Amino acid sequence: MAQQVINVQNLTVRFQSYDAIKNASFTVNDGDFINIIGPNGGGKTTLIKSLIGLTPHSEGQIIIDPLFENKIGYLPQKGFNNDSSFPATVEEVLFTGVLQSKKASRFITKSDKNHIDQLLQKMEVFHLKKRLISSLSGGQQQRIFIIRALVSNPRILVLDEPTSALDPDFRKSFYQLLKKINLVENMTIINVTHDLDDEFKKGSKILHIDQTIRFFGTYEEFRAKGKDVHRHV
Amino acid sequence: MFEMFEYQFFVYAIIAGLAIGITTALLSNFLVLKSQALIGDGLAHVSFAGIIIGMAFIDEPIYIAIPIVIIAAILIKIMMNSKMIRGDAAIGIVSSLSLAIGFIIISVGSGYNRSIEGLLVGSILTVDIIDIVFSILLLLGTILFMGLSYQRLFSITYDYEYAKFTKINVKKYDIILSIFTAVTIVLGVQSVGILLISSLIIFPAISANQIARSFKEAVMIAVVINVFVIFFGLVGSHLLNIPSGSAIVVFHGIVFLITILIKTLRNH
Repeated sequence: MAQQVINVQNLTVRFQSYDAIKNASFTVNDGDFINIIGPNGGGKTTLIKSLIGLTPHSEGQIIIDPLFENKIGYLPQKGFNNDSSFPATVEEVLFTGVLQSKKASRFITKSDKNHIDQLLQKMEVFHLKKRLISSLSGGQQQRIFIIRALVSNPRILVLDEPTSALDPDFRKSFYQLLKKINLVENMTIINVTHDLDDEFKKGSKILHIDQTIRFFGTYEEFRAKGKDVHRHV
Repeated sequence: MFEMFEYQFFVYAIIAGLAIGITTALLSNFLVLKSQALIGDGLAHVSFAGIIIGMAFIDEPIYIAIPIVIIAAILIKIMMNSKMIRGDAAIGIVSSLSLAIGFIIISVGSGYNRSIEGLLVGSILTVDIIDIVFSILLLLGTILFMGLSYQRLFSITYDYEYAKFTKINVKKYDIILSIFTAVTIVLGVQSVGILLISSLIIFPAISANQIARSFKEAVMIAVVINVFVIFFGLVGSHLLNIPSGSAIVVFHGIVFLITILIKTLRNH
């Protein structure tokens, strides 16, 4: 049986008097690929922000295996600064991902730089290293932000609508990349998505949330229950 | 032509001006790119009240003004972070209240007229050795802080929420940056005046961002621009017999236009 890495029990996240998430319980196992679906305002982003500690929860608990606690990579919904005059290079942006794994040291080392170079080469974007990030296309930027999420060698990857700004072709290759990371490197992936294409969801788990958890199980079970994915995203 | 450098007051002005200029340039990108450029303007108004209050009690008003402005800077930060009110409104509230308090003290006190002019347009040619010592200490402190925290400050400036996710204590760095800004503004108000100090924070970043090819380069270009503009602004103002603060800002305006031109030519 796969190792349990995250255990969420009776989670409630309240903003003033509004419950964005109500009494949610589920577990994430090592190597899971979980697609979180649900309507706008249904609590998808709030849920993952609670998981990674950015949004405090009001009730319940989130238990993360200590071995995985500092091994989470995160790709935010708007993972990039939209200010086109911000003079940051790809390499400088990737340095911000390295900081996650640093406790005492404040500096970027030669081995950090080598690690970044390797990832840039692996993702076939090494030539963009010195370019201003604002000069890249949406697809290229997203590729850089996934590298930023991977640069601290995470065991769990949390993504918030990573493909929302991408064209369909790139979307497909992006999901192929995620599947590869999931299968080859056995990385647990938690992905908030609006994507409707069933092809991407095969073999994954579906967590359907609309304030409360409406469904949690495999995609195949979800389909078997007659739930129409398209109606719920 | 260069006899001005034989005058002690002029050399003092150059030293204090450059020390303040390098400090504001170092802070510049971190404030402007976080849309907090106006915090300099707001804190300059608080400095006005702080210095006026200081003058009522002691000979060196900055001893009273610095803690007052630091408290105001932290208050603005707390208001911004609590999301009670918008950031620009928080700056507006603190700065207009400070100006009001400053003017009330002036109206009930006496002998402020000369000092007020100095505070408004600057009196860099009257800086004394204490101002210079403070300015250099501030510069060294800022270099140390930036040197140790550069990567974290960059992360906070570029993507605040991601910085929080990576467990950077964003509030702590926000507060430290505010304190450095506050002290810089108080010392800057003495040299270039309330009306012009924010230009020393805003212009270097805005000009540097037009031509920089990385954030690190932007920080370095900002420093070079401020050093160049302050030095030639002071020399020019002496030669042309115009107010030093105004000369510095006009020079900054010219440099900004040049950087826009360079950017335009580069893009074609």
